[in-house]
Amino acid sequence: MSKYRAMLKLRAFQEGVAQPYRELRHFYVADRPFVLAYVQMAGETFSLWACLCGRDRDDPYWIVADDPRNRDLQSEAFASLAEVLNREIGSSMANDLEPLQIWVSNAGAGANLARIGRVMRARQVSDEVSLAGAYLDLYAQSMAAPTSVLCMAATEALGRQRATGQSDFEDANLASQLMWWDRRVLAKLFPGLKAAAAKAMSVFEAAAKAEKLPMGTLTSPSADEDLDDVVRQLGVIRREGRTSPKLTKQLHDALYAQVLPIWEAIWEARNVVSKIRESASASERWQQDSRGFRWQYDYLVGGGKRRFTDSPMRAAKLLAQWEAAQADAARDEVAEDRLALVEAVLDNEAVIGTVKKVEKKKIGKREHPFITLAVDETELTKGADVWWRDNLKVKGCITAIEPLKAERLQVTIHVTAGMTKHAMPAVGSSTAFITLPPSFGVQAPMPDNPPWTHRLRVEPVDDDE
Amino acid sequence: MEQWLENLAGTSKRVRLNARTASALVTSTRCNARRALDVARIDKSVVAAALGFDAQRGQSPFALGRGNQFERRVKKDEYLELIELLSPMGFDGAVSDIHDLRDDVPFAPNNADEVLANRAALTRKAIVEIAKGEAPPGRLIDGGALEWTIGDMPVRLEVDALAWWVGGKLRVIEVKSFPVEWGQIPKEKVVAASWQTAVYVAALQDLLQSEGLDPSLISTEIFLVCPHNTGMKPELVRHEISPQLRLLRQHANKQVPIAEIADRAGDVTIDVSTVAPSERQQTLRNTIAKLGPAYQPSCLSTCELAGHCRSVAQTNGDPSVMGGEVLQVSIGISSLHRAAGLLAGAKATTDEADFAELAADIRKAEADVQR
Repeated sequence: MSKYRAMLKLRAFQEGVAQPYRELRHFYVADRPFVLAYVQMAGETFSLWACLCGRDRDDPYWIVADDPRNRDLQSEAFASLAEVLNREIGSSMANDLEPLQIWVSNAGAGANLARIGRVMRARQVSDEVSLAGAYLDLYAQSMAAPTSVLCMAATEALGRQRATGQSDFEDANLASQLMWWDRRVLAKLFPGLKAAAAKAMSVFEAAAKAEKLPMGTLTSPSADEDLDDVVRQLGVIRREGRTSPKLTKQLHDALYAQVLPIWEAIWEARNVVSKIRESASASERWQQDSRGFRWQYDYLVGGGKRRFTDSPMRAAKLLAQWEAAQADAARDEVAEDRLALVEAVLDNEAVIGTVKKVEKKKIGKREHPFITLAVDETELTKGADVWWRDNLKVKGCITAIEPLKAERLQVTIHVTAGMTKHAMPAVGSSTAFITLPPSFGVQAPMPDNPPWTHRLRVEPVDDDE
Repeated sequence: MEQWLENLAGTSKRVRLNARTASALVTSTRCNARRALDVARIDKSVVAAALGFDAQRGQSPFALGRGNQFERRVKKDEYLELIELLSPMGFDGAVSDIHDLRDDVPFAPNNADEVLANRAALTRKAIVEIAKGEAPPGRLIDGGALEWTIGDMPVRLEVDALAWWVGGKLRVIEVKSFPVEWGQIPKEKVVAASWQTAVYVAALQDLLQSEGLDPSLISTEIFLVCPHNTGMKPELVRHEISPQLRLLRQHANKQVPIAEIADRAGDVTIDVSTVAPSERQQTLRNTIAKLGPAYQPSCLSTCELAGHCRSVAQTNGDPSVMGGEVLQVSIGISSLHRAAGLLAGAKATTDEADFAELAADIRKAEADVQR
């Protein structure tokens, strides 16, 4: 967390409302995302107990495994999810539309999609289930790439836009974080609560009430006490070859009550962030996501298999790619967003000043452009490479920092690349230079014979069990 | 001291410590209130409920069920699968000598303390025999109990673990029902298990020391036995817990003595049964305040009283409510309300100078980008 964000949190605490951290939205939000709200049975890391999913808030698919510890019941639920997922992904890809953007409640819910995906593949129920499992794994893994928005955690989407007056730990509960945006949302999460009553609460009261709602992947432990009874009774009835519509309905209703607030909260979060104006580079990044997904999709439907683990070499390459993409995205944010610029100035990654002079000086045989800025304060030093915020192609180097009157400073920048007649700051204007370097997008060469740190201790595991 | 703790608890409900709560007790050195309540073995969830905070504590019956099921499987047929896992590590399964102290001293809800004391005595005897080389090489102890002194307070722990002798070392084996996923255990799970087993290792080291034996006989590499991937087949993972052990020892030495907490708090009690119902909450609030609580966001996942403490901290504008970076930038600031005032441009005192400078930088940068 930056100093700037810390300060915004202080303001949010005082004002009782989340404070803008970015003016624009730097990530793509689909018009019709695929929202996946689900719960697992406690202790059953790989289970899918109940799930509301789909692209239509008013008409979701409802999938339940009465007892996910029962293989047959779990497989049925996997098959139902696979049918929905494969149809949605297949139709958007076949019609050359953009890939499905999946929304989950928080990072943990995203990570557990990979676990569900893995067991869907490992059990080899059917090709459809295995394919859907590979999709889930792919979506979950995409969250590790900092600039990818194929799979969005709603808590992160909110956090990228505004800072709340509570801790990160509390923000991980989606309902609680939403209270800092709009307390009236509480009425949508608690049936019977009026919006006016929610608004009348303090943000602390609202958040404390909201956090009682399970917003991760587990049902609340208190609900489990009752669920345990029903599941056990149903198990006995099932083993006797009978059914009990009454008990089944009781179980489904109880689970539905656990999942519905998650479903609603994800949509609320998606809706509030979608209203924020999108930055220009966000759609470029989404294009990259789309191309990457298209490649993976073609590979998977062509019968390709995803590995359960990456080799160290591949992991190193991926990490380098992600870091490069993140560095470029961070530059774009500072260039596009004034609040990101504030943060960059405070982190000593940018300097704002008034252009005093733009002139050419002869060094050796050639003339070189120089820009002189008057600034109030900077901790940048001589020799630092800088890029012009209005046109990141313009690169320079600080050659002098000299005192001016009234404790101001004069910063001289030797422009070394990218300056044309059309790309030049105007004298008298206020402008900014940043120090964040571009990634160059070039991969470091990988040795044929990697050092021991990047050799496999054990062979990567493919489908087993 | 015992008397002060007795008075503090009064007739309120008591709980027993396990390794998880014991390690939390040691590592949460900042909070004197929690320390006092835990050492007095007060059930904090009851206190929280009396204060109007519903502490969602306790394990789900589903998680408990899975844990028990896995443990039964590991111990089935005379610990067959466990011995199979241990054999490649050098365990002599042929001469196994298994002590299940749960059988020797069955659990009795009315007499839990005595049961634990008896098991602790048997555990001590069995361990000492191993250490002296008087026991058969394949000795396993299941369901033992350990006595451990944290700072100045002795606690008795139920050890849901096994000790085993090989290559001149005693091992702690911990059975956990979270899976090893394709060779990996999620970090937060490993960390939690490390703290818990570090408590056992520390207690065992102290036990040997007290018998004049070499504490380094206890290996700091423990064995986690967890289900393999998506199934229930057990898998063994070796894990080094010396970092946690070292921190645990450091923390234990840094503990504020209970005597000091008692001196500062004076004559207080959590037992409000004799107080008029309308005044009970206020009395409890006062008691906790006098014990010296120190709220931080991580309390929310570890302490039943966190809801109450958070509410107090929010009202007071305690900079710790948001934790992390906010706390770091708020050095010298009395409250978050004051910090917001300074951020808006209020005149700063000398203590507040650093913060005020940062606030001025932010106001300046915000004004600059608007131009």
